[in-house]
Amino acid sequence: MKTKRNPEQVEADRRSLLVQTFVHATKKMFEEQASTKSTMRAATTRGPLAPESAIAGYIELNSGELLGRFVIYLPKHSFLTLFKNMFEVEQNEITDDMKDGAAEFVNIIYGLAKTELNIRGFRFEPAFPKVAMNDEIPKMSRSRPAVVVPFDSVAGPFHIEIEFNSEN
Amino acid sequence: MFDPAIKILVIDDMSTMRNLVKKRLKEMGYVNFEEAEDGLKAWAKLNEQTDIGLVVSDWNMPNCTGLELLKKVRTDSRLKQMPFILLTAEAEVSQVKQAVLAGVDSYCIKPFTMESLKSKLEQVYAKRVEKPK
Repeated sequence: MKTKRNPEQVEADRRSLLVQTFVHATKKMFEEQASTKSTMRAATTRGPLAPESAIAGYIELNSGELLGRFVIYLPKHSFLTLFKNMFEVEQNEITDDMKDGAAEFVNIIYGLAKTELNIRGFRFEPAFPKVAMNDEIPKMSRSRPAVVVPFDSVAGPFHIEIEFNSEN
Repeated sequence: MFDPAIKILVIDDMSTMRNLVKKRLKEMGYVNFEEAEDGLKAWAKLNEQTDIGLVVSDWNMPNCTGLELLKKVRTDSRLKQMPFILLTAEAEVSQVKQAVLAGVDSYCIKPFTMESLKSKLEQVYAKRVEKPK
């Protein structure tokens, strides 16, 4: 006989699936498009301060009742190396022209994750990524709870956050 | 393969991705490119320039998406036979179906490699040039 699962457990499982799918999509994107392998470290919950990073790409998540945001934070060296590995352009500084590189990272990660998640019952629609740089990053809203997943890679460390509206 | 001199219209709202696509196409031997950052600008270029012979377009763009552009192209008497490849992160079966119904020639999913893009071009060439409808 099937036991009915409580709504909290169902929601926890959905969030876990969401995080795992974005982790997998992030690894796959960098491995296939930038020839860069990455390894995730232990996931944590988000602290009050934005991480040390030079650039952040993000996209709003909306699957009906589930709202949130996916963010990838990249320190300067990691971004420049991943940018070089993916777009084959070497730079010493992050310029405005390179911002859409970070947006493209997010675009591909979101596309991969959305495809997997919608097969499993989510209803994510196409969305447009945005980018924050330097001083804009600490101003990004950090009021919602989030799961933080740090990664190590040969390009350097970076990390992703998947945040959820607290009423989800 | 297509004639290396064919003019290819590369459409993506991200300039870095347009550059990457052009670089991959150059590595295959193509030399003649036009660019647009969304479907609206691409539509204008397709109407201004009669020598464009192949379109490689992103899907998810502001103003006019790649799918909307494809539908315009397929209903235009002059452009309806234009070879059209969607190069996109949109990989859901429902979306691929929409693109096929709209008349896309091939569908290349990001992340992509030079080999995967080359293979799509070869498929389109075989369909459009070796065995024209």
